[in-house]
Amino acid sequence: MRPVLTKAFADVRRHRLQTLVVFVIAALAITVGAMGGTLLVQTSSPYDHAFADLAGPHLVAVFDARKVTSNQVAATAGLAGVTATAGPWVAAEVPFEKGGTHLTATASFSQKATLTVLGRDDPGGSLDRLEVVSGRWVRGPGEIVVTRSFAIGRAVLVGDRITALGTSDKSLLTVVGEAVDANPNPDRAWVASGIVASLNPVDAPLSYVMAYRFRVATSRADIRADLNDLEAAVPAGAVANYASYLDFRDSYNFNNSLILTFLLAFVVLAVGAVAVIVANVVTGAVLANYREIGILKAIGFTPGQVVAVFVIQMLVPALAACLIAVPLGAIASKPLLDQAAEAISLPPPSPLVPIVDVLVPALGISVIAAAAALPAWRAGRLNAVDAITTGTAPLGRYTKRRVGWWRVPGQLSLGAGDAFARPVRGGLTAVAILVGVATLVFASGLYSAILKFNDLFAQPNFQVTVSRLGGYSDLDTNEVLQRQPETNLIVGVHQLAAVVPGQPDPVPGTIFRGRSQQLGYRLAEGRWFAKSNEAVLGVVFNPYHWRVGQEVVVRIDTEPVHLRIVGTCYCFWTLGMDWSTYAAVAPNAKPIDYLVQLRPGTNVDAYVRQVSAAQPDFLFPQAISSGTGFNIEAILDAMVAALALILGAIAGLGVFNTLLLTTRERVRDIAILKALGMTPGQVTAMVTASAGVLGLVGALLGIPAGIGLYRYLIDAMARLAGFSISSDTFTSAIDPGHLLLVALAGVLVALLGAILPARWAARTSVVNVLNLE
Amino acid sequence: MLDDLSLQIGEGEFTAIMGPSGSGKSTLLNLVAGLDRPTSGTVTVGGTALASLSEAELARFRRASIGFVFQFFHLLNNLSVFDNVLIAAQLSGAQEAASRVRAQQLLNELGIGAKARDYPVKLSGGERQRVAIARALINRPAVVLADEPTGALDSNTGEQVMELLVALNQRGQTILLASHDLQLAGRYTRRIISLRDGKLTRDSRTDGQGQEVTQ
Repeated sequence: MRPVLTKAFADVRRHRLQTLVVFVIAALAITVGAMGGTLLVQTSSPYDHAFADLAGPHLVAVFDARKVTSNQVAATAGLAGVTATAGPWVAAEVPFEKGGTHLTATASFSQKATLTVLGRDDPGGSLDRLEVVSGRWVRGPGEIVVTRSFAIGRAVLVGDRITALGTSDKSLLTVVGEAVDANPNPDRAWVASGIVASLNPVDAPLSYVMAYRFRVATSRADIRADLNDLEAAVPAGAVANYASYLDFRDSYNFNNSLILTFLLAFVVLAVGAVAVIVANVVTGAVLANYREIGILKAIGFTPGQVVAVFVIQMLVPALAACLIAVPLGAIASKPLLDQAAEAISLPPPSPLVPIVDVLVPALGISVIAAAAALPAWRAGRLNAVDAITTGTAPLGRYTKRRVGWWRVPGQLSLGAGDAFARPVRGGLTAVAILVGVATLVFASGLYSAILKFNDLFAQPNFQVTVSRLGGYSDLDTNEVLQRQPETNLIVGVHQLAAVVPGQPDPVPGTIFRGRSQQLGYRLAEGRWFAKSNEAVLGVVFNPYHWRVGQEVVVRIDTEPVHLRIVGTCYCFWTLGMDWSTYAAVAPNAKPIDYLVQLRPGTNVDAYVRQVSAAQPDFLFPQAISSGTGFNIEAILDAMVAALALILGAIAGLGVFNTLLLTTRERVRDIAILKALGMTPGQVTAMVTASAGVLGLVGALLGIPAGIGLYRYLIDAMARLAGFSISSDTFTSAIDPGHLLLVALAGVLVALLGAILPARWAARTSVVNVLNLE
Repeated sequence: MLDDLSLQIGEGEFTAIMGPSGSGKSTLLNLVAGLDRPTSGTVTVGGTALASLSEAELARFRRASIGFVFQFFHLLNNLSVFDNVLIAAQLSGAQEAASRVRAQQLLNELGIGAKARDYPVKLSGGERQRVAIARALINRPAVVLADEPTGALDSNTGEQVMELLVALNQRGQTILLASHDLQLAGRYTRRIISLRDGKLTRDSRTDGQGQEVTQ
């Protein structure tokens, strides 16, 4: 082994530039790999860990206290399928303010005007435990504990005082702690059990919240069956709402899954590109060193030892790269981990994951070793005498070429021919560029798709939402809003879950009261509903694959409702329908949220202040922020841009390396051409032309590859998100102009990679190379 | 290395630069070709002072005025014989059709017209040197520089190459030949310049039969 190491290390020292190239590309790829691995491990398990550590429930059910007693709810613990319960806890929906600012809470894609305040004296227990991560648990009246994510999101600190609205006495509560549990929703808070009723807004219903674990709860269908038993055990309509651990897990995993999908795709691309470049380097080294290989074999190196010399040359920089790439990957993954942890209200996990820190470099090293071993195998099989005699590999038949078109300057046609003078090397380099271009196409497509997504799902034409508390009537709310001269249109809305008979999951529905067609939701197909029992279908969540023209039956408030789907729109709810449809099954129902369209030129903030001042305790107006609330694009965007840069750098280094090898190999030809009168500028043009051809080939192949990758990942993202839209929706998002720019970028990367080898070639000394003295 | 060397070579002369290895023969040719620059002094070819030219201007000068024939031929192995000749014309920006005709003509004259489509690896040493000569002549250079053109050839083939150069000279081509073979140079050239350790030691004229006529 010693002679192998001696020779390999001597070659590493001799080929410092080549070693540096391998070091840089390996470091980039392993950094991306370590980042992906860390995120994969640390973001796929925390929910399960939290669920296990905090004894998370399979189902949290909310019971309407007007329809069921606390004892009746507690009695459900004895149902056959129930293995453990916690609660019931009395709960109220309470609006809060801090320092005059209304504290909203994020829930799914929208803001919620209230916090669900639960009366709970003990955070422990055998099920649905809470972990106090800051401060302490409540000890009596006047104290409240909030979720950690709410505290972070609304800048509420332990010790702050917040005011409960909706009651005449406006209780002032001190935040004494921040807690986390297995529920990722931040819109919850806990107080001593005896004070919930005093916080409950006037006329608003109280509820009971109970947590369950069931004997069988692995699928949504299982949960649905358990829920059916639960509903059967209490008076009809008593179960007002519920959430399963599967919802929590999906909600948590959604963003991370998207990021991971992209990241893992990039890891594969980066590692692939590195393998291609390493194979290219070793191929070049073998071709250029036939004589030396022959000598090695002549003095007694076995074929395996010859292969080992080349593999070790690649492993030395790769191992050095691991030393910096693993910590770099950990550092790069930290912001994403922190964000993911914040989403689930857990302390951020460590970015140092031993298994990743060992496995990723090991995999990277293995790929590099394999990529080096394949071309090195050729060296191992060379006949010693032939190798010494030949000196370097003969050029194949594909490399013989004509001087080219006379109209194209000779240096360009010669350079173009040089691109594939070594077909394998040229091909491998083109593949490296292909990967870079495909990444750019994908990144460009994704960015355009996000813009189009934002455009399609942009907020319709209303500027303010107003929520009212139960103590304040629908009539009074309308009167306050109508009184404002800037009000143009008021549409009352009610969100509900429509049960689909025979299906495990209900679908989200929105009921509109008023001239909702004027809200300007973007229609994908058909028309807006015009009368009772007509519905518009959202294109995003269409789990049962309904179509325009189809008649469907859903249950709303336990009553069957026949709906005819008349159109589809770019909306996040599944079914949108007119109030008249809902009124048939709930004649006394009134909206509690209102969408307000303002007259053109109205100052939205001033309007919000006006409405708030008109009824500060019971009405909560909010200006609508622009955009879709779909905020993951910023992370994806930054990540895609960074990774595209990394892959671009890898591709550029690939070209650099290839041209370096080619220039060294062709140094004699370059010297001859210079002796014949080729100027340094023409030599530069010749080498650059070679890079240009490689860039062009890579770009032309990379564009369809990138589009394919883009479509695949967009569809994968839609599947993960449970969206019913596909990449077809965004096909037109890929701008041909962008594609042209990306193709040019591919060529540009190749040309950048050619700068140094071209300059070195131009400076070739004819006298020295041709040994003219 | 050359030291204190001053000489003038007239148009149409066939001059041999003689001397042992390291005497400065190739350096002199390199200076004339603009491949090397003198540390002091001047080199003027056809009225052009090479010292004042940039690298690019020197390259253009070489294309237009110099034809170089190397000891080891230095052909481009991945170009055919025809394209090896043609590429020099293309570099100089000559007209395509005329260059193609001239390339084939030169190859025919040099007796390797039938090999035009072959690649250098298939040719013998003598044939390769003929290709190199054709390449050197394609742009009708003012001077042909031949650096040990027979050094890599057997004696018969070497003689043939020298006869080709003589024939060229007889048609008015100025030729500067570097060689260490005094007999060969004496037989074929009309002027012999001898160098030793970079200094001019002798400048003589011959009768073409190896006999010195003036000193």
